[in-house]
Amino acid sequence: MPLRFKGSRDWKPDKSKDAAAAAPAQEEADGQALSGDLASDLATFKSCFDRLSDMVFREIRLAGPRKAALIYLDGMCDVGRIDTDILKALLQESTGQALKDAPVDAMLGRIDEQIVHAAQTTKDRLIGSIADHILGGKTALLLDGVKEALLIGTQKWESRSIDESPSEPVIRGPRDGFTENIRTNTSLIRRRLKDKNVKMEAMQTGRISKTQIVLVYVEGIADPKLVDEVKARIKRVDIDAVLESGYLEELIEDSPLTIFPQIMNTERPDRVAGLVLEGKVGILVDNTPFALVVPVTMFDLLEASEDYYQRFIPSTVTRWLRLWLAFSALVFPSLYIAITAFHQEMLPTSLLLSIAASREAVPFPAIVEAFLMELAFEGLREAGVRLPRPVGQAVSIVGALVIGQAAVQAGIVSATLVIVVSFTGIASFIFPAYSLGVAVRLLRFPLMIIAGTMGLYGILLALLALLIHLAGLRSFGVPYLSPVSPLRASELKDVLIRAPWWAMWWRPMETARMNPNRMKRGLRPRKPERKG
Amino acid sequence: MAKSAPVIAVIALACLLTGCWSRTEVNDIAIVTATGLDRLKSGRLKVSLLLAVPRTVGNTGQGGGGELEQTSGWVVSDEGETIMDAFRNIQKKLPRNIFYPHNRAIVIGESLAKSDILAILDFFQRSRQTQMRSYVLFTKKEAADILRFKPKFEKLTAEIIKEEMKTGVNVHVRLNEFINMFLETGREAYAPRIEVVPAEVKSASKEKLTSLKLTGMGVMRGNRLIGWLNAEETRGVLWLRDEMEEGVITVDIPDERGGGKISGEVQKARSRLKVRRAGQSFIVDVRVETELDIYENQSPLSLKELNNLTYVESLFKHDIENRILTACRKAQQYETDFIGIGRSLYMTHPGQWKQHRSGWNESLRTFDFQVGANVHIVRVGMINEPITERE
Repeated sequence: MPLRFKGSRDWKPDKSKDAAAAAPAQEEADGQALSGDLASDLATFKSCFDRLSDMVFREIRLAGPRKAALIYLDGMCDVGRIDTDILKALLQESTGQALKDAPVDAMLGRIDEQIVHAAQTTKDRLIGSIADHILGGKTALLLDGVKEALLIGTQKWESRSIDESPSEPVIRGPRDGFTENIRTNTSLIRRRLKDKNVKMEAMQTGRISKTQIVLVYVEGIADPKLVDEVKARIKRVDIDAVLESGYLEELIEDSPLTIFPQIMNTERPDRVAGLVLEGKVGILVDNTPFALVVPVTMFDLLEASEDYYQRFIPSTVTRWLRLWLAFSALVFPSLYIAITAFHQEMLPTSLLLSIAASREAVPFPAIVEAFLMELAFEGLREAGVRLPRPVGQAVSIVGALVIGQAAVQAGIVSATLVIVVSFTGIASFIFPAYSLGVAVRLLRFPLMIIAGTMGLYGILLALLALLIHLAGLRSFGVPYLSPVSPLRASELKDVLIRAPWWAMWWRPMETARMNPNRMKRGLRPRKPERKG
Repeated sequence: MAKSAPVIAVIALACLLTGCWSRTEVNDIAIVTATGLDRLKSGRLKVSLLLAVPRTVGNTGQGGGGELEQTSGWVVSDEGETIMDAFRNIQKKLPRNIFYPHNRAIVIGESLAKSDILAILDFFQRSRQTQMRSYVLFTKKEAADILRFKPKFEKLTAEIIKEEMKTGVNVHVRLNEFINMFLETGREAYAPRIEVVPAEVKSASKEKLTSLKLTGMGVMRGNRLIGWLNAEETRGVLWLRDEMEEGVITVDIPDERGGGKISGEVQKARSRLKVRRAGQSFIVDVRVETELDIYENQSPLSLKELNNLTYVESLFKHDIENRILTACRKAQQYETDFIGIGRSLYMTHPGQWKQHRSGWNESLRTFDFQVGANVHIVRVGMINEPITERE
């Protein structure tokens, strides 16, 4: 059969096969149980792990003399522990009492119970699942004549230590952020919520990646229907690999085509803990420090965890500031375009004259001018993220000097516009959730075009359309704009203001309907009464 | 989705087809900051526009020094049958579109004011670009002279006019108020008068610097300007119209109490005007309540003494009453009810107003004005005793 390439005319995607069916011979072996004959079982594993240079087969001889073998993946295991806790123990014990008069069938049990120094052991018979465990970092112990393997939890691999989350820094609040290790991450949450009702349900997805996923929720607060829905959506996912929680996010969200994120991602365990307590479900994904939280509303995405750590008055002011700046990040450049090109009568005379003076030398219409600068700014921002650290400074110099000053002096853009763009730039970084910030930053551009064609009227129309769109969005069944729309007046205490903790009696109804009571009443501190 | 994509694309692109609908960049407009209106001998209108030149007004940070001599305003004028007609003619001289919403002041020359103002007001109400917040002013000479004034403090003449209006030492009339004065029954229109005056008085300096000054007001009967009131009389009008905001009153202390002068500043003022019937004529009752602060005392009177204070209060009271009366006399002299006595009667006794409205202005002469002021001196300043010579 001649080779066919994708470009050739008679190429057809072969839909009958998928990735898992690529090696039929191996699949056959996966379903098999161990034969009990060490030599043949080892041969099976060796063919199974063909060309895996990091796989180690270690054959030993126990009391009897009975043959045994250890199989582990180098780099995923703590080799020191295999040496001392398994090998040393086995070889020293082989002459001792434990194995001497044991029947063959009981030997594996004896080894498990009396010899191996490991907290985590399981037994398995199926070759496929044993292979999976070995690939996950466990050590398999095969015993000649036994149709079972002992799987010993020796997983250990290099991982980053717990650092401060770089994407969500705080001034006041815990400094620990999630790491790439899911066990570390669950422990970070577990340390905050020690109740047995805080469930950490494990799931797995990804045909090749076999990524571990842990659902975190509080039983009794989270709606069981929501938990079931999350599980169902994750189970639906059948993909070769989930390398980052972003894969999962796109595969389980409600409206895949909207620009607005309907799932929160965060690096902060305290944030996940706080949201889980409101009846939400956290989704931890292995190999990424970004956990997902569902369902979220737009106002959740506009809140920083620090809002709850600072005292309520500054937090409330910060929230207002954030709402206002979030709005201006969206409309400020469009307003500049609309007002300077259509509605000059709206400006005070002296301001109009200043703007007119700075625009005197500019050859472009306001919209082109604004587009140039906004694009330059977005480019700088993206370059700043992507650039290797040592070059980073060059970008800031180019940004500040070339884009800022030189463009004005060369008469390409007006000084007023530079102020508008810089203000918008600052405002667009005020979003605690980067994903929402990106959405707003992108929406700015269509809004600018509309402002340039239809003025304030166009901006108003576009904002209305946006509002309708937002009001129609849902995140795991929860309206995106709740509790503002549909309105739940009592819950505005955590949207427009940040109510003091002694007044936050209720959890949000939308997610914690089952158990909305957060605290005892009357916790508000009072002056102690004077005695005598 | 795939099917609706072209439809969405067509709709989205159709939006762009409109182009930049009625878009005008700021550097394509000629910003009018003040308007001057005159009537030429031929009967045609002369419209002068004070345009702001952004390059010299706004600070671009590139110009550098040495531009102080340059004017930031530019007066362009032309004539026409109507204002719009004149605008058309002016537009021919300008590379940029006339942009009217930033007009701050409408200066009406005496020549036009004495003929017919009503006709031109139509434009200012009908046009979409005019703002009812513009100030209306009269000037004795040509309106264009005021616009041509070279300002020192502010960058534009219009700015000066606005700021001077705000100080509240003269009457100030916005376009909407001016039009209302025409429309309301029982009241005649007026507007402040502006003049170019020398900046220094009795100065030996050869350089003749000038300044803009509000010097009284012009009063109308019907649609015509009929006479002028000087600054003193205008202050009487301010009292009458309850628009007194601030002002300095200086009274003479008679020689038998030591002579000298005392100046006080008005802090609060309130006045009420009532009309009541008395036989064939009317009595106009004006009650004024005011609070004064003493700012200067050149007399030997000690203001610590209560009886001295009451004495000074009575002097102020007479002064205020006299000012109000002079304004009332002016109304009688010109036979025009700019005070709004008729309006006051209409509000309280509409029936009587109906009977007397014809010939109201002429009958003003027979009215009796009773003015009563109530003056309180609240503060006497940082010192109680006047500074006296050592004995």
